[in-house]
Order: sequence, then structure tokens, then C-alpha cells
Amino acid sequence: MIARIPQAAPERARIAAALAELVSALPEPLQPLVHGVAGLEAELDLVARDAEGGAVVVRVAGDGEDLEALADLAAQCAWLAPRIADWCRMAPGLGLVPERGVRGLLVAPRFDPRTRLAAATLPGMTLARVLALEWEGTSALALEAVPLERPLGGPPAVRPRPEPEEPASEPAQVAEPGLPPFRTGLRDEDLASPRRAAPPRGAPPPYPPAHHGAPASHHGAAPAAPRGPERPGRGRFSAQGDNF
Amino acid sequence: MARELADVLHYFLDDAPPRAAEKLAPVVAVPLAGGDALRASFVWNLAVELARTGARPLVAVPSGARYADELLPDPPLGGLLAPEVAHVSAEDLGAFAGALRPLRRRARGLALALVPPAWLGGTTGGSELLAWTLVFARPEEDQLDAATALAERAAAAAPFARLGVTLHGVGSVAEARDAFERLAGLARPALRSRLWSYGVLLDDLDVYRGLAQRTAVGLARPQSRAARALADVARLLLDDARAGAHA
Repeated sequence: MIARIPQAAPERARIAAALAELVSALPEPLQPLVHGVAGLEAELDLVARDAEGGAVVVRVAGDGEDLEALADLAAQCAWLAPRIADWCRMAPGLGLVPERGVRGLLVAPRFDPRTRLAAATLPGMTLARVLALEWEGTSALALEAVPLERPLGGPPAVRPRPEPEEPASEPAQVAEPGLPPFRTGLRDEDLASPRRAAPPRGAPPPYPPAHHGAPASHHGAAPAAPRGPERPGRGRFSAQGDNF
Repeated sequence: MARELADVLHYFLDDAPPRAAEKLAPVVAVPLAGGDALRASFVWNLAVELARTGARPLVAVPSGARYADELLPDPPLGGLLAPEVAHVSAEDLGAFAGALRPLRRRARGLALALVPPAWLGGTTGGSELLAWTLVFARPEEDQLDAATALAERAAAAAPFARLGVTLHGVGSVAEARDAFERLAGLARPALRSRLWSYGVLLDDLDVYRGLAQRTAVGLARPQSRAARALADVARLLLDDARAGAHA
């Protein structure tokens, strides 16, 4: 029979020693990658990989250290995020996908309400409580995910966006460090005038191009007289064509 | 004087009975000058796109502002897909936010609130309305400057605001990305960290035609490029609104 041990919280060192095993046994298991790697002014307890290739910085906090540890973990995630691409180049075997970004997992015996609320407002931050269990006369540790309730009324936090159904026509571009990423599910073909590509024989006339608001020329169904190259914003307009 | 039991009952209760959380639709504030017909049309068209995804959006318009002509109170197409336009009697941001609150209960998905830019610097409260603000921007330098200044004002009025930027007037995704990054580069670091991209819209012939004919692009020409761009921005907004949906 498994029983929860109502005793003092497990010590940080004990949790850290069992960390790889603990995160591997989560309902959404993490693959431990590297222990004790140098982070920003401190060592990272563990960097793991989730099922989608995202990096997860796992930080252990002792009893009563969780609030401070959360700030450290947020900083370490921000520090690691721009370095993941380098990690992938140096060690492709890690299986990390830079586009999946970096998230944090804070592990502690218990959490201050301030920690839970702060974590709920941080993108990609999760908490897991360490439980000490007694099983067949021995003591074992387990992790229990802590549900986070977002505060009412605040701006929405951001979750990883699902990949678009169709691959983007352009290679993914990473914004400069410090700049927020540009987001769109559109491709250049979605914005560019279809007239740039020759229509197949027998296809209906192309839709008139846009020149940032100025009415553009329009090919009607009737054969048009030959004309020179059009200038942006100076085209003709007809309300009698196929597109109306 | 003796008091009724009801007056003192709370002394004997450990906690007040939990109140059900108010189901308020998230609101996106869109600072918009009164005569800006094109961007007002964007807002209306975005609301239509939100409705097409199954949301029941609301467009809130302060009655004192001159937006009514640009928006469509009763679109000829789309019946059920016509977003509700609420003309709210308010003279400042605080009153607008207060009047909007009951309306947000009946919206589903998202509410869009047009806010006169002059209200951003006021001291009348209502800053919660700016907690999620969307600014439209064109790629020209002066337009990016203007959009950045607007975002700065929203940030000053609502210190924890999420500031969205939607580009328009560009010809390619790369141009939109470049414009967004230039805008972010113009912003102070404190503002930059709160900027979020909300895609790109086309202001092409379909949009102008819709404006002139009082039809929504997504209903009249759902396969057009302008409609695709509108749907993409609406999806970004709705996804983030859902991500912020409170458990």
C-alpha cells in the first residue's frame, strides 16, 4: 500500500539526486539531458527535453525557497532561450527543437501562494510538488503537477502556438534578441498579387493587385487593348469585370 | 439598538460564500481616431472573422466618437455572423470601461472596444480597459513613429498592458516582419517587452469596396487575400484570448 508520509519536507539534495527519475515519471515525461550545466551566475539543476523537442529547465527549490527559485528559474529560461540554437549545432543528438523554445519547471515540496500566482502569469512556467511516499516500507519521492489558476482580468498569457497546417513559404526567421517575434500564419503568396505568376491557360482573369489602398487596374473579361507597364496606384478601375 | 441576525451573521461565518467568477469576455482596446474609416473597417471585419470562427464578438463604440459611419450596425450579409455593435454612452475611459462591463458578459470570445486616442492620457480611470491594446501601423517611418507613440501612451495609462501591433499597407510577409521589428526597435525596452505581433492585414481593393458597399470582406469575398489576412489576425487574437481563458 502506498501512503503519503506526513513528515518534514524532503531535503533539496534528496530531490536533486532523484530529479532525472522524477521528471521521467511525470504524466508527460521529460527526457533528462544534462545536469549541473552552467547557467546565468548559477548552475542549472537539470535541462530536459519534452515530447515536442522543447527545452525544459528544471529547478529544485527547498522548502520555503520556492518564491526566490521561481525568479531564478525565469531568468535562467530567458538566458537559455537564445542559446538553444547553439546547443543544437554543438550537440544535435540532444534532439532539441529551437523553435519550441524554453520553458521552466519548478520542483519544490510546497509552494507559497505568491509563487503559484506569479508562475501563472509567466509564459511556459509550470510547478510540480514533491511528495514523499511510503511504499513497502521504503520511502520514495514522486512529482505532482500543481494546477495554476490565472488571475482574472489580466492580459492573457501566451502559450506555444500550434504549428500552422501548411509549412511557411519562408524559412523561419528568429527575431533579434530582445525583439518580440513577428507572428503571422500567412505566406507571401497570401499577400502578393496573383498577377505576378502567369495564370494557367483558360483560367479566369487574375484579381486586381493592391497598391496599399489605391484602386488598381483590373483585367476585365473582354480582351484589353495592349498597354504599357502599369505604375502603382495609377491603374484603371472597372466595376464590370469578373471580380465583381 | 438591537441588530438583526442578518446584520451580524458574517461574524460567525469563516468565509463569505464563494461568488461565481464573472464570465467577462476579454476586451481588446483599439485606439482609433474618429475619422479613420479604414481602420474602423478593419475592426468591424475582424469582428466578423471572429464570428465566423464561432465566437460571439462585440464591438463597443463610445457614442461620443465619430465611428458610427464607418462601422456597420446592420450588415446586409451574414445575419447570424453579424457582430453586435454596442454604442456606449461614455465621455471618458473610466465611464466607457464601466459601461462595457455588463456588455462583456454577453459577448463570447472577444470584445473589441474602440477608444479615442485622446482618452489614453486621461485621469478618469478605466485603465483595465487598456490591459490588452491593439494598435494598427503602416510601414512608413512616420507611421511607425505614430504607432509607437500611441503604444507608449497606452503603456503609460496601463502599466501592465499587453500591446499588440497589426501591420497593414505592406506587400509581403518579409516587409511586415521588417516593419514590426523596426517598430519594436523604436520602442523603449520597457515597452518592447510588452509588444506582441498580431499579424498583417491587407488594405486592398476588397477592403475599400467593402467599406463603400458596407459589406464585410469575409462575408462578401471569403476567399480573397484580404479575408485570409483578416482571418489570420482574428485567429491570433482568439488564440490568445483562449490562452488567457481562466480555469
